[in-house]
Amino acid sequence: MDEIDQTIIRELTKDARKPFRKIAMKIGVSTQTVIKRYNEMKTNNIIQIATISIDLNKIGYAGTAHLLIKSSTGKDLTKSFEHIKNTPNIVIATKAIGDFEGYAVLVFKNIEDLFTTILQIRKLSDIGYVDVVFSVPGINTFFPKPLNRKYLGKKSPKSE
Amino acid sequence: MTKPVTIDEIDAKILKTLLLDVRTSFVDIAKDCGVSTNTIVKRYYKLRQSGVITGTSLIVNLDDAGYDFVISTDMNVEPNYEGAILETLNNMPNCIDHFPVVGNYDVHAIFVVRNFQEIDQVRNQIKTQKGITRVRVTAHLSKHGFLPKNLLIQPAENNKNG
Repeated sequence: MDEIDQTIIRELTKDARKPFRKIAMKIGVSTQTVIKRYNEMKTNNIIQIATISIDLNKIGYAGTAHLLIKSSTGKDLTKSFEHIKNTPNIVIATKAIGDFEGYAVLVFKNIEDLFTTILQIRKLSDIGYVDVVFSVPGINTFFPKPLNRKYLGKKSPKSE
Repeated sequence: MTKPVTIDEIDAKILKTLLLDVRTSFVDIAKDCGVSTNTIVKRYYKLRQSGVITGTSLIVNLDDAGYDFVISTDMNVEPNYEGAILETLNNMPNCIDHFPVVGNYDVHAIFVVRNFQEIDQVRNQIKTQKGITRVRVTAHLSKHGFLPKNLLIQPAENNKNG
């Protein structure tokens, strides 16, 4: 990654819809160069997701459940995770090592939603145990949250 | 709690499209919906104004900064210490998110670290805080695991029955 790439990332971190033309002007290269660099960074998976963040409360979501998952003894979660990753409203899912073997975040509109999805996940054969904690509504309702803000000089937003 | 905003099919389409790729041009979305580009632009700014869209988000590979691991920690905190613990977490440079939770644990925090030594450091730093009774550390295998395509965005149904 050179200076140009870094500037592109820095600018897009502030506003991911910023026109490539404006970024090009700021760096002093052609718009074509910026587009080419952006596409390269996407193909090389340096830019993994470019998205909007949404206030989930505003579109009717009531809360967020964090699922801390353990496999049943001697089982591997790979298959179950394929399923979990394709479950509607599971917005974060990753396998893990440590006290839990999987971590997933489920957003839900009402208790029925929550109940159905969690029951469905508990039924997966390789899953031994699912611990559920809820984040307090109104604090953690944005999705997704950027992971890279501190390293790109962006101030962390104050939690309201 | 915030009051929900009523969104219709066009709003839902805008949100879904931009969630998958924030740089999708308004012209393309307009073609998809069969409305004018102007309508989409207006709707987009309305969604921003009403606070449905809070901003844009670029997730980059953390490898570049040397931060290879994402770990999450779940801790139990004695009743009166929650505020102080959250403040401490806020001041820890590699803590990227932290919030109170309800359930078997009291606080959830996510950290990025460069190596195993740092996992240990984070753990010790949390453990030695006053008010912490238990810490569970879990290292994530994928760096973010975001799945924007799974988020269901449904236009509001007309509430005829009230």
